[in-house]
Amino acid sequence: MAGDEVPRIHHSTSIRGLGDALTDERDGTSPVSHLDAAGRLPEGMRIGMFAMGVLGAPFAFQHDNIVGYAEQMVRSTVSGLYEHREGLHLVTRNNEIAEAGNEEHVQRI
Amino acid sequence: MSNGFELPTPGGPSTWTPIDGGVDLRDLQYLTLGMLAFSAAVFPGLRHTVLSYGLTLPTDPQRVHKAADGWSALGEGVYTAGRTAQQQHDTVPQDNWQAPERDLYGEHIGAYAVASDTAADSARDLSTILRWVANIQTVGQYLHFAQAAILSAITMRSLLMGPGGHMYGQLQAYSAGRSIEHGTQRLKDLLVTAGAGLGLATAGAIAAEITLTDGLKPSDGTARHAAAT
Repeated sequence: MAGDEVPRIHHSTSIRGLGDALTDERDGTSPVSHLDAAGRLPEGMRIGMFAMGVLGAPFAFQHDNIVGYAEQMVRSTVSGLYEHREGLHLVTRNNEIAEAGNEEHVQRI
Repeated sequence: MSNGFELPTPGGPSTWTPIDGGVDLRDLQYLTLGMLAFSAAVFPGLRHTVLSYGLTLPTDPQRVHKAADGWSALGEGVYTAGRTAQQQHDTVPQDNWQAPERDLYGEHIGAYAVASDTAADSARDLSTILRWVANIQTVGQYLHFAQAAILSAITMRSLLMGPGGHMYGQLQAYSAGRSIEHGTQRLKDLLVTAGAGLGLATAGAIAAEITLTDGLKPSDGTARHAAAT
């Protein structure tokens, strides 16, 4: 590997572990579990049309819209993190396949 | 945390509750409306006061406080999630993974952390603004209540003990000699003011949509992009 222009060192376990750590839900300290906790908005989060009076209705309405945005944002971020995990696993798998291929190659030679 | 009157303190929820301990202000509001209506029945000049007070109903500062709690919790969670992802990336030793993929992944995670910070900032801003709104509403309700109490006390006094007193004279003069046309004109003015207020509130809401949703709105793509490999 010395002399390669692009260093290619892969420690499969730690890359895979990095992906799993993103979504690990066991002890509640992974990004996904933090997001899950954040996305569990309290019951009264949508304040309703008239919580700021008749004249404040546009604000209250807008507030509830923004709550909806935030919920979507959390959901899409969680699914994005799962995609990251898949991506990291894919990297590991590809590397393993390539390495196995290389070894076979070497043995044949 | 929703204990009624709370001032926003940077860096944490306040527990300072000098006025009320999470009292539902709605009964107070209906009482206020009732007292104003009672006074207006005697002094017709007060009718527009009833109407303009009615337009501020039914406010509920407790709900607004609750939403503020929710926003600050959301901000914390999103911020922590971004930071944790970044840390997890940083703790994988260089020796364990050296490849262009690593740099790419690092960039993605960095962008995701920045997007999380933005979203968390927006959530905290919303929380602070809602706290101020709720506090102003609370104070406003108590002021209206005080005003209505004074007015109805004067009305009661004039009903029980006969007309008299300085305030009575003022109210009497205020209400007397008002023609129907005059009343119609004032009602029109009130409606125009209310309409202008609604228009202003709508404009404000649109501005809020633009300025306060940084990182919270998925359609701006930051969070999604950053999080998608």
